[in-house]
Amino acid sequence: MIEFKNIEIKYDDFIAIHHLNLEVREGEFFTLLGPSGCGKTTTLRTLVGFVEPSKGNIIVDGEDITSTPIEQRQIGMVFQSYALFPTMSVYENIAFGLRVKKEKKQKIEERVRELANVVDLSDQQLQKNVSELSGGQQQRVAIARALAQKPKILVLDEPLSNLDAKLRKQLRKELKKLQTEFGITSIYVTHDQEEALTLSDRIAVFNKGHVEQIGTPEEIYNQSKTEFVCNFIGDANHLSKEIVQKIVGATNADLDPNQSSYIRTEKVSTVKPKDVENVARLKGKIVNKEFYGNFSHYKVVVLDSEIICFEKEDGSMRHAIGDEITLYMHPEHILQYKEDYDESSKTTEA
Amino acid sequence: MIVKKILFTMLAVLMLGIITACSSAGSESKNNAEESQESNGGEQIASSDEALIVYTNSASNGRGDWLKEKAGEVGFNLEIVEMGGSDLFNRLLAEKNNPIADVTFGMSQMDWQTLKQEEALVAYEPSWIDEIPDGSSDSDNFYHPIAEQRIIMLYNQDTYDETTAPQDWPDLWENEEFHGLYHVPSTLSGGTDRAVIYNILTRHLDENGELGVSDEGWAAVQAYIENGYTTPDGEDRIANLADGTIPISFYYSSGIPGIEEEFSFEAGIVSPEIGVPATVEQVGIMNHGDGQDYTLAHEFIDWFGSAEIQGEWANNFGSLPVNKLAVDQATDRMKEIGQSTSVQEIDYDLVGKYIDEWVEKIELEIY
Amino acid sequence: MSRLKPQKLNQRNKAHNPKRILLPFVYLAIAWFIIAFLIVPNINILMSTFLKDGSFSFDSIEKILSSERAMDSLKNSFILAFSLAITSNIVGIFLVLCTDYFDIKGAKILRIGYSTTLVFGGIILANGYLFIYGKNGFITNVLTSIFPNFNEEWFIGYPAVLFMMTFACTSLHMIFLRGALSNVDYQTVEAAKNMGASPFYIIRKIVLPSLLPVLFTLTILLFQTGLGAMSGPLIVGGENFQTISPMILTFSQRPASRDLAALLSIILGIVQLILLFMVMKAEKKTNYISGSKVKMKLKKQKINHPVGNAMMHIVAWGLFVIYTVPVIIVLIFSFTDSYSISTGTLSLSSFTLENYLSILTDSASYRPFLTSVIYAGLASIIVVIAMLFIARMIQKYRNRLTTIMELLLYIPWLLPGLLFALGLIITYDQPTWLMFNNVLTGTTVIMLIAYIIVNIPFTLRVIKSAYYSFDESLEEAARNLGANGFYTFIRVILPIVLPAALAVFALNFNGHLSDYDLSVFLYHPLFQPLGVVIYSATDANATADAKAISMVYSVILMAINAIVLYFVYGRGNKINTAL
Repeated sequence: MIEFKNIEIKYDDFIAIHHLNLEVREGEFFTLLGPSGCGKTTTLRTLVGFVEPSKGNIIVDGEDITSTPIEQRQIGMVFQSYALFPTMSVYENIAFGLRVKKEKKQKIEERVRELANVVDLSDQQLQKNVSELSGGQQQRVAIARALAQKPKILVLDEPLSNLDAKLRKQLRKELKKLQTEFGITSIYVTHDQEEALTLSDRIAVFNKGHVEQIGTPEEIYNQSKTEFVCNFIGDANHLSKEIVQKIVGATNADLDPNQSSYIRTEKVSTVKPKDVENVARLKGKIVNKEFYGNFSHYKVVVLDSEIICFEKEDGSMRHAIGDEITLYMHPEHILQYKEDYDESSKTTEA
Repeated sequence: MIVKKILFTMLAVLMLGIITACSSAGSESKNNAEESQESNGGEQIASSDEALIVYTNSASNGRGDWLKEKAGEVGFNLEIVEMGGSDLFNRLLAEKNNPIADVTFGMSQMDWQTLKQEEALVAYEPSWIDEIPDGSSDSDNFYHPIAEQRIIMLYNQDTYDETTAPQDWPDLWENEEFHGLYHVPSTLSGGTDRAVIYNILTRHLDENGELGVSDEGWAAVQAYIENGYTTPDGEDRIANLADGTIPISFYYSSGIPGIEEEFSFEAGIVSPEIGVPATVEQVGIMNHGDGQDYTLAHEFIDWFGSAEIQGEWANNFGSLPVNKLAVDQATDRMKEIGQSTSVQEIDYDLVGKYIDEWVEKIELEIY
Repeated sequence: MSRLKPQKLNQRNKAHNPKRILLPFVYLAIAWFIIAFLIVPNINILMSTFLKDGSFSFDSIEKILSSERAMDSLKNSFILAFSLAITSNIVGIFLVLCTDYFDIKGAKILRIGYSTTLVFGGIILANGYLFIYGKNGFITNVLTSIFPNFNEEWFIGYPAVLFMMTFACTSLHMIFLRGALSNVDYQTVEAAKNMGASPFYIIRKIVLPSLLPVLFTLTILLFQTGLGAMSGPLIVGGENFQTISPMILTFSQRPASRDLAALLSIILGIVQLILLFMVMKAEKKTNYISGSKVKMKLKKQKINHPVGNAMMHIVAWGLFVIYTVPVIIVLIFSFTDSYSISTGTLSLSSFTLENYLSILTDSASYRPFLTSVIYAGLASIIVVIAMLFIARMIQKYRNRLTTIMELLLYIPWLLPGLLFALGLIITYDQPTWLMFNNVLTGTTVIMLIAYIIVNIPFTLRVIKSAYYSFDESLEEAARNLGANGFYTFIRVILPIVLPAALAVFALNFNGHLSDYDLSVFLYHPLFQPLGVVIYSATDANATADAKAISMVYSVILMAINAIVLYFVYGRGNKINTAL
């Protein structure tokens, strides 16, 4: 439905986006994930029309919109700062886009009420000035406003970043519910991996102006294509050359000790698996333990390097600091990356 | 949207204002013309009721209104524009390529000399040329004298009498008992203030001296300024004179009756043997180019400078008219001032040549 | 998460939008305006002053350098500018804290008292001070009765000038600093309190830093006011503290000395230009986007310490007395005769309504009021509308062209009004192609143009700051919701900057209402503005009750100014204008 074709974006000499190719499907909740300054917001703004790509095209429903004026793109946007108009009431804010379109007064009224209902704003709140609302309520207004014109696409630029953790979780659920209800194609920008993993149908991980990987949350997590993605998403243990050599020696797995190797913390097992054939056993010593209630968190020194792992708590307090422990790793769970890859020449296909 | 409404209201009021102002301006001048023609039983002098724009620095104290009314009676539709002497002079110079004024009267002979050099004037010989003293007009008839202003040193009669008061300007700085007790102007932009300066400097002319003045002359001016009381802005020098705070000052002659009335006192008049400086207000026609019809301006000048009008003017406002036939009508106080003082002989061509540089030097180096 | 601003927003969109085709014409029109009204007349007047007998003459430089008086005056002007920038800011900050930050009893009345300088300034303010501190002033009389040897000319020289101007120059604080204070997020104050910060510490570390951008601009304006000080030093400066502006005025009034006036103006102008350039540089660096988030309105702070509280109240109300007594005195004296006014004495018999009657019953005297209201109103509206547009261009299209344009628009700050008026007259007293073969000298338009031009720099600054103070994503949100540029401007941006625009309108309007310096050369003879009429009524050569009449005019002017301010600020209009 949305296609970014060979997009390049330049600010003076600085190339913010290199050669981007991306496709978002109809009805999909698509997330652009990455650290600050990686180009995800820039990509979003290019779609909306605030930024002009120096090269490439953006295609929506088969139509090239690269040069379409912002106001004709039919893309609803929720801003990080909400960008609610301070001189207007909540009602006027939501009605703004409809007024622009010169809709009939009655129709505007209906639509605003409908949206207020959907995002849970009372009649009383509609008449208030936006500055009188709390952060969460302002967020709801911003979403209602973006949806008022029934846009083809909804884009959200870090919409939850200004809220506290609890509210963020609650609104996250509501957001997902709304999106499923409306079935609207949505593009979501965030630097919060948890948000990305829980909300998205698919995720594009951005780094330094290019896309590292595109895929479903599971793919991104379990089959991180690059070292960056592996590090950015979830928690991973970096495995030293010695450890990898030991694993290779024990299992005969096809692993190259000279490559950068990782294993996700939850994939390191402290319990002997049923099928022990292809599992490497590593002995180590617990140097730190953190108790989390339903699980515990161990720091284990193996062959002079530290490995983090979890253990489900069953109340038996099996291990303590100073204990010797055996860790089990399945070679299939080990992710390996060539260390010297060249970032700028990399292209990504969806 | 209260603010918005206010803005629009203000805009509307303004627009309305412009419309009314324009229309009222138009109708007003028209009415004046009509009125004057109806009410006037006397003969019509003006050949046209077109507005005649007159610039002057000598229309304060109701003189402008009086003149406008008086002129209206004989058919002139005057638009009198009044401003201070130096502003007037500057404006005339600035407008010389496209003058607005038809006629100007006032200022001093030196200002007129400059206007003539700048080709801002056209020559005209008025009908009353024989009624003024020979040789008092500009030799090329570009401007003609109307009234004389003598610059007179005044003292508070409660503080001094004729014998204890200063007898001449140099007394002020040479005699220590007057130090700090006489008014010195804080700037020299006014014609009266300048007259005091050239009155002192022209006593010490020296072709080889700086700007034509000998070292003694410069020392004298310096002593004059340093030993006097420089009245700051915001302080009334006449009030100081009237209540004796600063009992010695100076003023232009036609203004003296006015300040005496306002502060209810009678000033003592100093009459130096050498005489007092006198500036002469002139009248002239602004140069609008060859294509212009100057008839109305000619008619106005003939009427304005006539013995009748100058006499009445003198009688009402205490001036010293130049027109010999009008002198008699001056007020008694003016006649007294006129008789008790004589006019100092000053080479005004030379003063005109140097005065700006003199003033500039004093402002830069002496003050 | 790019915090970089795209240099070119939607370039290709522009090409497709028919409105963008107009852009070159707009540039052309602005360029014409700048060349025709800001550059050519000024160059003309400078040429005519420095060009003598066909060659450049720089005698003036030597004359100035060798003149002790000129050098002293220049030095004094700089001393005044520096010290005024400090003292006035201190007092101004204190005033705003009293009215809007601390819980002081009667804050509303205090606010009105502190705001009197908005309608009460220049000569008339100086006169008001003289009535109190001058030779025959009330305070002086009290002091001499207690200490018989007290020098009654105590209110003179640098301390007197600084004292008077410090209080006279806080009017902008009462508008812009209050606005900025109301934008401070109260949560930050609460946070600091929560961490145990003392009230003074909170002001120093939390409140003042957030007011800094406004204070910076106010400092520049105070510096300019100090450099250009006129009536203050003239009236109470005495022989030892005269400044350069009166000298410039005197020199510029005399054609032969205009080169000196121009030279001195250029010296002051260069200093101001340097300052301005520094501000513009700093501004580019500090241009940050503020997230709107959830801001809390400032709550007034109670001072818990009883002694501190009492002290604050005493100082606050003491300042109130300093501010209001001169105004009240002027009001009272406007009902007395000239003798009382000149000598500063009051007796029952000297009270009279004659001054008011003579003005109010004279049908001719309403004309100048109308003329001035129309000129001042039109000029202020036009300049505000034009600057709303130009400041927007400067904000949106930041390139070398707009930077140069902005700098050129500050030219009127560099030359005194008088030189500039003369430049206009001598340039357009004959048909020129630049003016499409029209003559401006002697028309009603020329004064309007001059009024507009002198207001450009200040208006541009205020409105530009207003544009920069709001969240840029607002505009993007409106565009995203389908509004075109114009609709966005009218519905979203204008309402946000309107308070600032109205404030600057009111200030401009009040400034022009009684203008003399500029008007005297430019007014059309048939439409005399108020300043010229007042001047001719009070000219040193006019005698009859001149002072009384001028006082009445001043009181009426104050009334008009107050009405304009009431319309803008009164009636509970929410103004949070920041500079």
